[in-house]
Amino acid sequence: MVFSSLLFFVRFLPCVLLVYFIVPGYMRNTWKNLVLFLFSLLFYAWGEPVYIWLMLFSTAVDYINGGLCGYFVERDRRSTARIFVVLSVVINLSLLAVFKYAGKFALPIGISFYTFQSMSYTIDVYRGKAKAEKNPLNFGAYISAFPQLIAGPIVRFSDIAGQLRERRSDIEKIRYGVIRFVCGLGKKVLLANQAGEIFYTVTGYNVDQMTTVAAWLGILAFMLQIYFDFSGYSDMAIGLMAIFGFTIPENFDHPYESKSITEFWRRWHISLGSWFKEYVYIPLGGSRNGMARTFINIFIVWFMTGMWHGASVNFILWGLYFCFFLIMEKIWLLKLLDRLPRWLSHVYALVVIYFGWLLFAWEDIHGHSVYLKAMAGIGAGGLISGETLYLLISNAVLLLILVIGSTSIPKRAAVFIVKKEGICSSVIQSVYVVVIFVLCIAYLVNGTYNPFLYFRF
Amino acid sequence: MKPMKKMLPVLAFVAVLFGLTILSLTTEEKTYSSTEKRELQTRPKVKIKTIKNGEFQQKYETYLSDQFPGRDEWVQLQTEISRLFGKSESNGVYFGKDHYLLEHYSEEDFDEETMTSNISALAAFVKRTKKQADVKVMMVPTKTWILRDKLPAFAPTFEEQRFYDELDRQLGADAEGILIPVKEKLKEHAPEEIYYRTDHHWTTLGAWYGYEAYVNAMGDDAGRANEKKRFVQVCDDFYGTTYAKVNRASQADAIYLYEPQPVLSVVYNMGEKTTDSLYEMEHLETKDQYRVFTGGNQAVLEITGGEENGKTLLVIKDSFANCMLPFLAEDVEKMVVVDLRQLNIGCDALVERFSPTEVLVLYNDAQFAKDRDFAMKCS
Repeated sequence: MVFSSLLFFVRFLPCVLLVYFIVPGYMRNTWKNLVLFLFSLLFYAWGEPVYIWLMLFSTAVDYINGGLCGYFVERDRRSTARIFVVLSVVINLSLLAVFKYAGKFALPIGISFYTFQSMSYTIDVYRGKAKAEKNPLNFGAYISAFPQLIAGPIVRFSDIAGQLRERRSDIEKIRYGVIRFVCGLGKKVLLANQAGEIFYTVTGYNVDQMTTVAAWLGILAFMLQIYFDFSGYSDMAIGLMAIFGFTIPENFDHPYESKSITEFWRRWHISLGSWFKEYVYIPLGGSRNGMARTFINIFIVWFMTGMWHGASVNFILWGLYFCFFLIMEKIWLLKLLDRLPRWLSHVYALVVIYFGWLLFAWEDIHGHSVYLKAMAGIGAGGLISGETLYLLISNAVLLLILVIGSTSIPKRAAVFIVKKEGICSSVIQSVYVVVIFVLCIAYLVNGTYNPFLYFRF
Repeated sequence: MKPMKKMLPVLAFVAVLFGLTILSLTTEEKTYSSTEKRELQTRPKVKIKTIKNGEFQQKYETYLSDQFPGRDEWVQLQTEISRLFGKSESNGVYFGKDHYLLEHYSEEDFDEETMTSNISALAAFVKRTKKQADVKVMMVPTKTWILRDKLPAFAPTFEEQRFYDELDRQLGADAEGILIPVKEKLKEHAPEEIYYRTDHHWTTLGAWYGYEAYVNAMGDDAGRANEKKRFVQVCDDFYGTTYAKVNRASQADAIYLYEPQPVLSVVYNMGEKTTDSLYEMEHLETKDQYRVFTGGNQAVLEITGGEENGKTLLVIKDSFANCMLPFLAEDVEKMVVVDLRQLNIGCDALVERFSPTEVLVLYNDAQFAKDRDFAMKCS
């Protein structure tokens, strides 16, 4: 199931909210966690019922591994505990290998996210950062929590362990959650999908005939689409979790405002970056063992980051592309960027990010060079055509909204309004919620509108 | 008061969420949508087997969206919003000048392979048949191409000249005299009301120009066409197929009929029913007003009652012919109208069976270009 569907809004969400808030919170939220767990399984199983076994298997295996690991850690038998950490990592990576990289099965939704969550659990227990979760329902609710199941953020167990037992959904948190959720929904349905339409139109053109402007516009649209899509999903996850009383880490922080690639990766998909830092980079020695070793570590992390995004070569290239700039920045570029005017370092970062998306957008490596030709104006399409002009004009307003929306301006405006706390502020917030929600429903309904024009023919 | 203020956005959200949920739970199930012109999905039955293979889930989601309360109004709202975004296109429809809704045709609609094979089948059929009958081919261009001046600035549409070039190429020497120059005629009269604003079909006036071109091509007296240029308006609230895609139009269309017509005998689908007219007036009271012409697409119509001149005209056609049939019917003793898509008989068998003296192949070019089985049925 996905958030941006009518099924989610007129069946799933009202049901889960109703049941969740009716069920009492005593026994340290066990019953509420059970509700979350069961609904999450339903959410997961809706599209591919078979995969419910995969989820249950994953949950059971990690529950047992983590439990045993914790048992031995408590008794100070760390070498035995380590066996279960290794076991957990091996099993989770094997699941990924089989279901994601072997290419024989339909990709189970969210597998890249929940396997990473599972691994963080056993490792955190091993490191003594969290206690093993005795209650399987709490653990199940953590691994399968539907808000962040499909697209993150990747919540580390140590971030959430305490909240599983003790949390409170007060009205302030729910209000924040609702607004955050609606904001994310709008980003996904109203903005990302429309940016996607521009990209889709451009990819529909014959690359040999593509105009230069269309080629540039296509990648720009993709760059905006992927940001609004992904950060929209994260907003929805954070919002829903807040409604259920959880506080989970942020995943995006206006990445397109970055002034270096180092900064970009601190602002883009934060939970993945910090996962790799915490569980790969630092254990490998981080930057403590000299230049050469540091670069090797960075290389390993970015090779894996690229690979995490998909089973195709272009994703690995994409990871290594960033690896190159990160190492350059570490050696000398960052010092130079600091001395440059802000706007110039900003332009540098955006250009690097922009061409990164070109690598990311197509799995077919050969496509890139032809596309680059069109961008450079070497293609046969010329600079601009009537059709390109039409695409630009009819999307001008949208593009403007997208560009402004990807900066921190809307957030600052929102904070300003929320801080006012008067009745006026409440009304504005309510109107925002209703308008965005209603518009999203209109777009979702239209997406299913399918006139069969039998007398057409 | 203070918590109340905080609650307001939450209450607003809950009201919309649960309001829609309750509405969708209580709205009465419909089995047919007259705007979308299709059967709607009803609540699927719960079965272990269909849940396991995912069929139930798929149907249930279709059911939810098909039965969504106020479905048409939501679509309308979406169209309005996308207009606000500055879009002059929604669901593949351009909002053109003078209240015209124009379909956006692209390369996909004129798929090279299907188009070429259909045209070559047609050319071969013409070659085979022209010895026994007077064969004419009339391809009616799309509204978007003829009325491209009405498109929003720079809006792209498929260059249909490519279709006609291919047609010329394949017909070769036959093109002259067989291909009726209807696109030239329509271009000439583009400022007149030759296409509906909210539907993709040509109007009765547009069809009359087509008929005039046909009369000229047959070498008949121009007066034959001129005396039929009399139309009666029968409805002024017609919203057609193009409208159905966006649920938004600022001007309704009027439907005109060529009348009065002599009493004919029209046999539907090999004797399914017999009427005395090519019009089915009762459809004017429904939302499918365009079906006033022969009650929509029929597999076979056999019409008699025209001039007793021993001529038999075989019309192989799509929906664009429906409003032109009344003009043609009077000129021949017998007219047989077939819609190949509704019939499992090939062109040659039809010629053999009805031994026509005249054959007219009448299609809209876009519909002809993507017809999946014309090539098969015509060869």
